[in-house]
Amino acid sequence: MNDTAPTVDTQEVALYEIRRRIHPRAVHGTFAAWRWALVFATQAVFYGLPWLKWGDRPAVLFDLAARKFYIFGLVFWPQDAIYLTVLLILSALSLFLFTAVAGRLWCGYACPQTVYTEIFLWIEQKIEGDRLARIRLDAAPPSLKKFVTRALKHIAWLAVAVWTGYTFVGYFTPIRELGVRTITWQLGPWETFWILFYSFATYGNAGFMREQVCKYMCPYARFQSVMFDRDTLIITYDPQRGEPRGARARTADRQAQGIGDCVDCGICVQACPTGIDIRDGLQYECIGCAACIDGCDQVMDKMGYPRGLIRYTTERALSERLPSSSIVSHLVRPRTLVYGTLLLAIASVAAWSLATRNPLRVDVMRDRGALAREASPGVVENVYRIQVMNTDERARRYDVHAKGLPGIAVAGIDQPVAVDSAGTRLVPLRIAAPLEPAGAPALQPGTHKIELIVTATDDPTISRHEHTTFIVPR
Amino acid sequence: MFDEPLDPAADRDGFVRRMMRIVWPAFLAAAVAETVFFTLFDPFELHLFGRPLEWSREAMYTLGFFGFWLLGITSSALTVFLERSAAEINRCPYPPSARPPGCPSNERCGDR
Repeated sequence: MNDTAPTVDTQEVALYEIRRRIHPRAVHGTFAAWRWALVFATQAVFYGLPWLKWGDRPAVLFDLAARKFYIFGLVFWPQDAIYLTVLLILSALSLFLFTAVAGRLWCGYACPQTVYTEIFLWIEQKIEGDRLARIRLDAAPPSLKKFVTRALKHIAWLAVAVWTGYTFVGYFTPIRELGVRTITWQLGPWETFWILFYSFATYGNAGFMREQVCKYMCPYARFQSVMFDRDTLIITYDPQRGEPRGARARTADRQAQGIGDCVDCGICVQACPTGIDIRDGLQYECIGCAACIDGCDQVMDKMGYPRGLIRYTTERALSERLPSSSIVSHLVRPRTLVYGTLLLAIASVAAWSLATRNPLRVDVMRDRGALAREASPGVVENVYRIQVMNTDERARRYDVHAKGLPGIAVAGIDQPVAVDSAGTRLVPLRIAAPLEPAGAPALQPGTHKIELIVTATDDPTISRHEHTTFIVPR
Repeated sequence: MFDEPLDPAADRDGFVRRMMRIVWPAFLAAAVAETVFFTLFDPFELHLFGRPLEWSREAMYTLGFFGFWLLGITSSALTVFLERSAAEINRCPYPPSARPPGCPSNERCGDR
């Protein structure tokens, strides 16, 4: 490009900005500690859950092969998909609420992308050294030492990645069985594939893609700002306090020099995992990890300045110079109230519905082959199949009755019908009705509405009434 | 407006980002499609040309997922492909340094 290049050209080139490998500087402090606490908490849950047992089965198992989800004492069937929908709505609303209150808490502390990047960075730091050592290693010419260091790092990364992939598949196949089959070399092709696929995704995302996932792939990063308002806690540099920035001796009188509190050490930039300068203001690339706060606080401590040149604050508090108590008082506002109320309401309804869930489901299907026939003189029979689903933790037996026509009766099955715990049984049955019942008008040809009633033998409150039709031929 | 990137590394990173924009939204859409489709339909109830499919459910779930993903990738790729401006399509594909001496493009397109 020549000197007279118009500004649009510069912008166009900027669109193809070269990705510079970011080596975030490790920082210590309150927020780093919080992040590590959440790394441990989320991963204890993720890696630990598949190993938990509930009776003689895994406590959490998404048994796709049998189309049943076990979550502790609950068994979900495809018919329960509404609960999955509710769960997604609740997750979205929680995300909205957290974002409105304190910005990208999810991104900074709990998102798998952040968590695994943090773990992979930790490994990288242990093997390759601190930020400067890593930058030097990147620039170093190929050597045996460089090769060995890199190889060790990738082996460690792959170990974590494969364990993560294995755990992931452990949610769909009992993880202990998976272990036995791995050792005896009997893994199925699909299990093997998904372990490798998920491992590869973890390795690639946490080892290589890193901040690019947040900057170029994550939709939430793009729309999170619509949940923000003037009272949302965001990580902000205080320019009124910091500017004009400049280097100075520790003993220098900054008022005499006419400079602000920012010593322009660049640690906030070095610590940033997405490579931005928080002093430029709020940017969509900021994942709210607060590493810059920890980094800056360390410097402020060394300089003997008050902490918080970069801090969690709200736009209103910053522009109106309000104390932090006012931030708390602005916590309750229409936006948070709406999100909070919706969240509570939907959660309560879902909890109530789960608690009072009928552990019995019945599907009635008319047999398409044989609609209706006169089984014996004066008696019409229809053939059905009923699917009895017992979503309970215990085996049950059920009585099947029919009503809706005089003299109607269920025939052709052994009553009661036994169904295993969390089991399904398809039962063919016949329903018979006399054409000329005693003490009632004769049955007219055509379609009649009837009701099939399935009731647990041990608990009459567990019952289903299913509507179906009964056909009387001409 | 359609100046080619000056640096091959920028070109490569631009390509990588374009690939991300194709593959990732398709992945998200495939995850949703997979969940909804296989919640509503049991793979054992599906028929291919009137015959029941005799594969395991795991196989069907996996193939289904990649089928949905491929469909999404096709759609995203077309979007990215059609998104290019007329100027981008019409421009000379060679950077100025790679054009032969006396190339008429140099007069017509200047430095493009």
